[in-house]
Amino acid sequence: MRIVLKVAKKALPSAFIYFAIFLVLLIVFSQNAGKERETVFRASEMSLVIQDEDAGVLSGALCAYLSRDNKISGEMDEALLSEMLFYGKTDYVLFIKDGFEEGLLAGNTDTLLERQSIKANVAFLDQKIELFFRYVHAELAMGKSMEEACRAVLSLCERQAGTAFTEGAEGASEMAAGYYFFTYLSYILPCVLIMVLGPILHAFYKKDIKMRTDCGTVSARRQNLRIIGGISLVALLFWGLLILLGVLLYRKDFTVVSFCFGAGNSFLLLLVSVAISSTVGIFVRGDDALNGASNLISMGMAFLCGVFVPGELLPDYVHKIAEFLPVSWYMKNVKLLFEEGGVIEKSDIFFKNGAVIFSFAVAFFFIALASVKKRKAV
Amino acid sequence: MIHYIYRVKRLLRNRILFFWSIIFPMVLAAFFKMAFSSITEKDWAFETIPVAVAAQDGTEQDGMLVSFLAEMENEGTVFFEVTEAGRAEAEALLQEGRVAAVILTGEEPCVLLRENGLSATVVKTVLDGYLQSREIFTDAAANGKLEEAALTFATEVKTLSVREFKGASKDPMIQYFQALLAMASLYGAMYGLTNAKELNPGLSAEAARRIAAPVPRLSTAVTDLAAAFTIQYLQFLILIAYFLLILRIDFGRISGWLFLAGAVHSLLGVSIGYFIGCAVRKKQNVQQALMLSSVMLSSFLAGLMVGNIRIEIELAVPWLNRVNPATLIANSLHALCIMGDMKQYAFCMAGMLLWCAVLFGGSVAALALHQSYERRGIKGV
Repeated sequence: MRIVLKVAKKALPSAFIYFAIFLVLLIVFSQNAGKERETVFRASEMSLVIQDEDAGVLSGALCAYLSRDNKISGEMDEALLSEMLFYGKTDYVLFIKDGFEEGLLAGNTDTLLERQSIKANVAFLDQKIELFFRYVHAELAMGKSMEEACRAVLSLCERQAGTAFTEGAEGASEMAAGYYFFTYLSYILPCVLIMVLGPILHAFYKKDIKMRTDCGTVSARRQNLRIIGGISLVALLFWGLLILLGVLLYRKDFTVVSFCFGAGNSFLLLLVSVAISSTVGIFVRGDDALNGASNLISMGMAFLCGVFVPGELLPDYVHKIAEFLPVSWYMKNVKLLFEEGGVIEKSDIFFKNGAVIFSFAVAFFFIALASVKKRKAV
Repeated sequence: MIHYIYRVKRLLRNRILFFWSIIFPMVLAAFFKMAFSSITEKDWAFETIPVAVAAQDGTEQDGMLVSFLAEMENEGTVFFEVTEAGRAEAEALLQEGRVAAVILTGEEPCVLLRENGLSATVVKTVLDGYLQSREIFTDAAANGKLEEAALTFATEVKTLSVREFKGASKDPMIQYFQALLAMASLYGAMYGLTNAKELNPGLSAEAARRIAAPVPRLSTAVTDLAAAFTIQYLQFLILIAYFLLILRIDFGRISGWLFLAGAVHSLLGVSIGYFIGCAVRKKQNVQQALMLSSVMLSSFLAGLMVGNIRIEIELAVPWLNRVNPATLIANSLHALCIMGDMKQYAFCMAGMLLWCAVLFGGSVAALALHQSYERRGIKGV
């Protein structure tokens, strides 16, 4: 047992990098997490940049009109602006050229007011701006001056439709932070366990070491039991550490039920991860190769099973592939815990998914046993 | 020449190097493609919003509002798919998620929602516009100016014109592939590290054997460098071909300058490996861990794991983008292929060449320093 821990200790520094990535991901995504379902209307704020060269009464009123529901930024360098648009930091840029107000009064605004965006879903802002000018034209037609017309339009815009939310509507608009904890656990568990448990198996199944231990008085059965016990202890320690971290960071996000079910679900994933790690540790030779295999397997499953990118955004064929991976069943249970109104109502689905994860663990465990036999034969 | 060919063969036979520098980026790119292929369309596309319109209790359906909603369109696509229903039915549709909102018409129209979001904002904005227009006419009628106001309101005047985005691609997901290419180029450091190890007699038996051969050391070093550079550059070409021809990623404008950029990227990657190999006199696994962590950190800052990190850094700590090797690589690709900004491209290329000069200079200095210590019999340096 001590030897197992000693070998595991050697693999810890490289595993630490991935643990750090897990923590960063948790922190970044937890900041965007929501706590409760919203019951008050909040407009989706668009990020606008207004390059106002005209700086007249009309352009000032337009800025005030748009700033009610949107985040407005002032002028900036055009190259930076293109970058901001490309990276989605800015949704919409409005260029108001010098002489715009006079142009509007003369009925000629050709290229005096331009907008730039790379998103098609900002069309409603175009409509909103066009409507603003119709209001101004109508007010001017009523004989008002530009200043009076702008003031009238701004006060007109105070008139807003009421909003209400349906009672008992399902689903929070944003996920609780605990959701992200259990989601990224499915990336870190297989990743780190392959890197930590792999070298242990390498050490014990190295030809010379194996021959030496076989000469000893300990039977093969007891040797295997001790190796299994050792790797189980390391895996349990790591899992316990992660769960403790979850409790410390997100205790407010969990109910007792969601936490217990979540921890149970992650324990099943732990079994699968240990089984996968054992298979990989026996098949793959060399610590460098193990590092590569760990990255490929954990990242591959994470991408295909909707860990890094929400499952709804993945194409259908990816969903079909993901059905053959344990992480996708784990993720179904995580969603049940946080998305679909609690796991108690749908506990039968939760247990069915759990049974599938467990069968994956058993299957990988048998593959690992078969590969041990194969290596012995070699 | 023969040494060069043998060196290329020697480096190619190392399967671990081959895996990290080409197989891993290829597999990761395939995952990126699968995961991100439909994000832009689903997130940003202009989509018709299904809404239900129902009369408030004790009122009649507002036919004008229904036709106003049904007629709204953008470039041939209607804004709303309107379902007229009774209030109970409309609410049921909303609960089932078959409509994004219910508009309750009457004296004081209001919107019934299930959740906040862009669809809810669009519905609310349009209804606000309808109410405000109604108010403007009421106001005009009260002032005896209804005819003038109505005439002006009905006149179609297009005030806003569209300025096209000058970039060759509008897909921001391309940044992940740029960062991936940067990571793959920096993994060229593995070849540099291997070369450095096999050039330092103090670090490996192979190096001691090679140094004993009757070949000038400079010639060996140059041959090794040329071999590492050739492999890394070929891998860059294979990756670009894989992105363009197999994954069919819209990389933007492809020109001859891209191949020059690839050469500098490859040289930068190899030079990092040389520097770590020569300057860090530790065990090979320590050097490798240091190299992998540096590449990972650099690629993380270039946007490999968190999209938009480059622009966040540009706004908060711009100097970091000017010195981070992976960001310089990714930005050179972005400037060249997406923005067509040759000034920015030249700036990034100059930055990378400067890095190469510093790293190769540092490697030679470290090598010379250690050799002088070794000659004087000073150990443990």
